[in-house]
Amino acid sequence: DEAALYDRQIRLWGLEAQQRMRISSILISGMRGLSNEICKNLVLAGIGSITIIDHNVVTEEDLGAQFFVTEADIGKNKAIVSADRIRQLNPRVVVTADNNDIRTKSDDFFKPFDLVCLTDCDPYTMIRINEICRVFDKKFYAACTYGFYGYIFCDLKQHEYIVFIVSVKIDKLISYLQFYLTILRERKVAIPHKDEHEITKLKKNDEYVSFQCALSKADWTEISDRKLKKISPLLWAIQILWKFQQEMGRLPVTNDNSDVEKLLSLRNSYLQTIHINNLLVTDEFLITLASFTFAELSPICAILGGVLAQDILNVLSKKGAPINNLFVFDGLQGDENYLIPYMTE
Amino acid sequence: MPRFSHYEAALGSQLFEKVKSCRVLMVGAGGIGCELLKNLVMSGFNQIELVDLDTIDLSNLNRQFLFQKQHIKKSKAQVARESALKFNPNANIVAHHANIKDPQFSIEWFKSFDIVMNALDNLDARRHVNTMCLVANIPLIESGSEGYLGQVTIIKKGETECYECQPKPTRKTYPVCTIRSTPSSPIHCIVWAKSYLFNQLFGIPEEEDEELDKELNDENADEIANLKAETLALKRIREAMGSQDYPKIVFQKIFNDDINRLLIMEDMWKTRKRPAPLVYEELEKLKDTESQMDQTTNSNTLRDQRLWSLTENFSMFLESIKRLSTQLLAEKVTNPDASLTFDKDDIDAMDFITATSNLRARIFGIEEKTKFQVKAMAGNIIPAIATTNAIVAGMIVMQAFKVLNGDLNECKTVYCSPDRRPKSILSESLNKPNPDCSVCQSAHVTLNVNVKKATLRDFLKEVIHGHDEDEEDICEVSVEEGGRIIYDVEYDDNLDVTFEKLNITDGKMVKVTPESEDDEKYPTVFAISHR
Repeated sequence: DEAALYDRQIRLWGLEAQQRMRISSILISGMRGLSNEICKNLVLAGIGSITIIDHNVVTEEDLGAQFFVTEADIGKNKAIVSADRIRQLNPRVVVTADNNDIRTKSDDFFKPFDLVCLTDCDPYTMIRINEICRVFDKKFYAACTYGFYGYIFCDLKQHEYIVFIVSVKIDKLISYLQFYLTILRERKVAIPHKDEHEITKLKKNDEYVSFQCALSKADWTEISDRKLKKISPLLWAIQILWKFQQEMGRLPVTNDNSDVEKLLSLRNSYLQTIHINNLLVTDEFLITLASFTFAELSPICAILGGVLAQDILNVLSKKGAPINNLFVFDGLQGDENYLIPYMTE
Repeated sequence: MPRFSHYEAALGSQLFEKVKSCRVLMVGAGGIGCELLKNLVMSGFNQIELVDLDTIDLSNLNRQFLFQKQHIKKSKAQVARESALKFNPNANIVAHHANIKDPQFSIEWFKSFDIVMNALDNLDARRHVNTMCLVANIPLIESGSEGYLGQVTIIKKGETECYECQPKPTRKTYPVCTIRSTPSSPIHCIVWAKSYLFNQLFGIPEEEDEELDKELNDENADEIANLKAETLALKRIREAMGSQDYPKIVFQKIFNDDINRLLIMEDMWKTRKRPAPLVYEELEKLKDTESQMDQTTNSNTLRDQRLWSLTENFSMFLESIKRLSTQLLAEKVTNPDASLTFDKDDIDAMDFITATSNLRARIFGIEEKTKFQVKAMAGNIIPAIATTNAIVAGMIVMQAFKVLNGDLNECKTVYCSPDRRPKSILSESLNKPNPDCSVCQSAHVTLNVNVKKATLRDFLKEVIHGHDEDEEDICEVSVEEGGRIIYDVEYDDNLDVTFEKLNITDGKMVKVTPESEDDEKYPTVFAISHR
């Protein structure tokens, strides 16, 4: 009985949102720790269908963060072996496995999906598929974890959604204080000293920029120096990594001195171009990040996968403000995650 | 091992060794528990014990992903263990299908762990684990989630706040008179249906009279007397259960006679809207008329989510009271003392509560609710999803790494709220213990004692006085256990009774408070460990 199964979540986001999810079709590329978590969360929530695509085979290292594969699967295609276990989580969801390389897919391949989520992908492919999504009006997400660090990028092109604003009557002199809290259901929020509160529904419409556009952002002057200091160096470091990948066609190997040199010089030139102080991204930080690019840690995948899956569910249900447009997560600091809109003229 | 090569590189071999060898206790295998167990097993934790008293229900499956349909009604702890072992068959996981408050989980048992992680959903168990971890001096990672909100914090005796340092909001209770005479909102009607009516008819009626007496004052003496008479009359009606007329008799009483009696108390209705009693025969006629008209049949699920008409509530009342009566009478055949307890997942009970609370709401001009809404209010349901729990569980493991590494000062209280912008994950420093907290500021001592032989006098002489032979009889302390006073300056009846006879057994906590004028003396809590 579907209503009984989804009872606890319908009470949170409502029947309409649940129904919207039910008819949605998602494509997830790259089956590693992060996408395992995303698939789990989306399938449990009851989306319509999910296609997982990965041309790689299971290795022993994968057993550390990918719970959809077991030792017996080593050597077999990741997507195919994971699909069965994903299905078991919720037989109502149609799960399709594709063992091809996403880079070989034609544009038309992406047509049937409502939302595309790339994980563990290189910038060139991200740019290409993002453009395809824009042409076909599909929602686009790209994310990855690097050890304790991770990012989520999204381009929703143009997204309409509703948020709820709670205004609270604080004291008897009828002075209203508007707290901007986005809650996705008309449930009471525990606010001390409340006499009564009003909930207003607001319709919003956000515009997004493409990934390529975001990469080329050079003007950061709208952010004050004080704020800049608070932003995690991860924001810049991830982009430096992308630049490395675009130039060298691969991720850096920190054992290789020339790779390290290349990385540092890219940092210098990039930060200079955008007029950001070099000191904001230390050698140590950048090299540490680069040394983790292949590592996947289960708790980090869980946190980032949870945030990302919830964002996807919000987008599908058109309720709640989605990420706009980059979310970086520093698992060691714990809370240094910022959402910076990449707006260009 | 290649599968853990990432962890070794990321954590460093020293910390990873600690992870591999540390003994973890997980309390709770539900929403947070399933995600947490997965993370622990995947991250290389090798010695895990988990405790959960619950069994699996269909409504768990939207987020507790270690369970599937075929596991419904089985033990959460056992099935969680089985599913998690698939991720790493070499992990040592011990599962206990039991209540963490059971005596088998003694202080000594708690002490055998390096770290305890809570994945609970109730105040009571959290308090208990908090106390045990304080006494055993083990770090505790406390967490919780509700809807989109999640939170993780660390509790370590002497270094951080404990669970009880800050007062926790207690569940809201309503004055009996509001529930019984003057409801003004839907929740009052629901509480009436669930706690008063259901119990009086089918359950073990609580001492309603006592509850009423508590609220007795000069103004409401008449009302209280009236309510007592009502309860008595309802008890008598119970005997008519099973007869053809039973539904009508009950209806007549609660929705007509009782209301009319309330109306007599004019004062009550001076500023309030007067209730309008329902007449059985009228509703019966209405029902018959409507059933001759066209009826759109809605599926069961939609029926739960829409408001029922007056006739629908009426029909449902008749139907559900018959079903519940039949069930109770059947149980009484084998057990004359049988009674029904309210269970939010019991369809008959929920139909009954919904119908009766809506009928009452109709009488008092209060907004009615759908069965879906009533269930949430009657059952105190907390909405829950997989994503929040996944995030919380990830945060728990990240904090655990820090704790194991001895970096308590790097630990934080972390809040997650996926829809908050720009920071959806927020952290703040851990607070120091509250110097006035009666739970963690007490000194905690484990007392090894033979409860069968030791008497209270022995305890006071040997332990409280130490080597002082001066004071003989009067010991200026008060001794409490489980909320009752065992001994104080004016009450020394128990001096020569053994611990066992006083019901102070293994695992119990005995609090000794010095009776001094000196404000600085704090109580000492002795955890009893029977030898």
